[in-house]
Amino acid sequence: MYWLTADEIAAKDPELAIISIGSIEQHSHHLPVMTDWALAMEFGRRVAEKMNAFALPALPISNCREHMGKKGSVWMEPLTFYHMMEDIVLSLKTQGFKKVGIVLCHGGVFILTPFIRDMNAKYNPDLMIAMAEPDASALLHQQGVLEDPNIEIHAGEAETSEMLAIAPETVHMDRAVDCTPDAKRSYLSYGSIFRLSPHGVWGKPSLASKEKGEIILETASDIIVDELNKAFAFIESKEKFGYSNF
Amino acid sequence: VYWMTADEITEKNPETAIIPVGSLEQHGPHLPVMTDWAIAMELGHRVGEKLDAFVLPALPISTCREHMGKKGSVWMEPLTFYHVMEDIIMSLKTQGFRKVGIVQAHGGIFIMTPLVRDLNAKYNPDLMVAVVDSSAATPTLLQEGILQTRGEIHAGESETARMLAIAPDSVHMERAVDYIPSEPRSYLNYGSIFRLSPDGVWGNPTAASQEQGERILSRTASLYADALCEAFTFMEKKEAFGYSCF
Repeated sequence: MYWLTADEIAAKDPELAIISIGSIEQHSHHLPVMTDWALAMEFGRRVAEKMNAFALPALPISNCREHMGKKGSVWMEPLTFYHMMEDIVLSLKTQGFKKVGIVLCHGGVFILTPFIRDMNAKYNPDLMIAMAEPDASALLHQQGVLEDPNIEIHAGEAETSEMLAIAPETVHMDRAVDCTPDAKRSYLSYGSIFRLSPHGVWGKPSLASKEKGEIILETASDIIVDELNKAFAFIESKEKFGYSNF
Repeated sequence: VYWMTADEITEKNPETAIIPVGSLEQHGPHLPVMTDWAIAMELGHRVGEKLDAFVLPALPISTCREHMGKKGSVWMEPLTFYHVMEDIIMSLKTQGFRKVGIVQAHGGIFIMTPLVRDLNAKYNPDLMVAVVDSSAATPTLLQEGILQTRGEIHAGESETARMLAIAPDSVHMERAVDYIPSEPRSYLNYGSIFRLSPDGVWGNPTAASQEQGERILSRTASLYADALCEAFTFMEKKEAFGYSCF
């Protein structure tokens, strides 16, 4: 909706804003560093359309120190990111937005959980914040669309398929390498992804296709809309408990 | 450790420090609000002994807005907590501690992941920070039959049994109520625990016993010590990758 004029937005008077969050970070040999940002733009647009919401431009930079090692990954401090999100969300609240939906397209932004919890605890019921990630893997694996039975963390079958659907000219399938590290994801707090996977991949990109990508984009968008709606309905149904609206 | 004189500590010259982290928060009708703090003290001592470490006094207050509603839960902002931990850990680094093990006795401190990741990314190899919480013990405790019930988040079998072992006078088993909400844990970002569980419990406290509590504490201390050692070993063996020591 950011392509509308202020008067056009005033006429629609949306109560929901969508903030989609990407990252600029290495995505193995075959995907561009803009991958998460490209996904954030795509999912943000689709979700906002389905929910008749005001979509902000996707935020390109967040937290990704777990990708340190090769040039081209860009991060800010988690605390800076918290402050930035707080400022943006409160600016939306000031102008009368009651609901903010965060569409998270980079898994490594762990500061969002304390952020969302705190904002709801402080500002419910005047402001409600919910978050969803574009993850349709469980469902699509069950339906036989996705083949890799392992949990994809980075640049695998699903993410590569999505990029083949969004920006195929940026994908180099001939360079794709599969790797599923035998490690816990929490070890990304103890060393960069290159310590666990020499190619900076965590999944099976060789299984990717454009057709799968289009199915994922549509299915994951629907899942996000559903999860955000459920969360807002839950928050809206609360009544005062003791001293607390949270 | 903190009951020793500075000269005695100098003589031991420990390279590992343990920071136990608790919380003051409601724990259902049957457990005191000090529960997480009491468990942090107990496990901090046990783990510190195994690693021959300098044990700090357990921090009593962290982040727990998910328990808002009844008087007696005390929190600070997640960003304040980040700064508290960063300052304490930097003071340890300045005096030559190379390893810091965080023993986290309250699950709701989601700012811990960005904190640990960022400190390691910035200060490895001079400083290594690792964290353990119940996720490092529960699967094994279930497998070995020490725990009977699954799905505990708060004031259930495990926590109640440990309190029966540590401070039986503070436990009121006749008031214990079992309850496991059907919502996902992430809904604690959308409303306090009282929205999901009327008694503020998420687990099966009636299954707990005192004898079991001692077995849980003893096994958990070993599992925590092992998990911290594994994480430190993983970090110690890293070499520079590109521009990065992370």
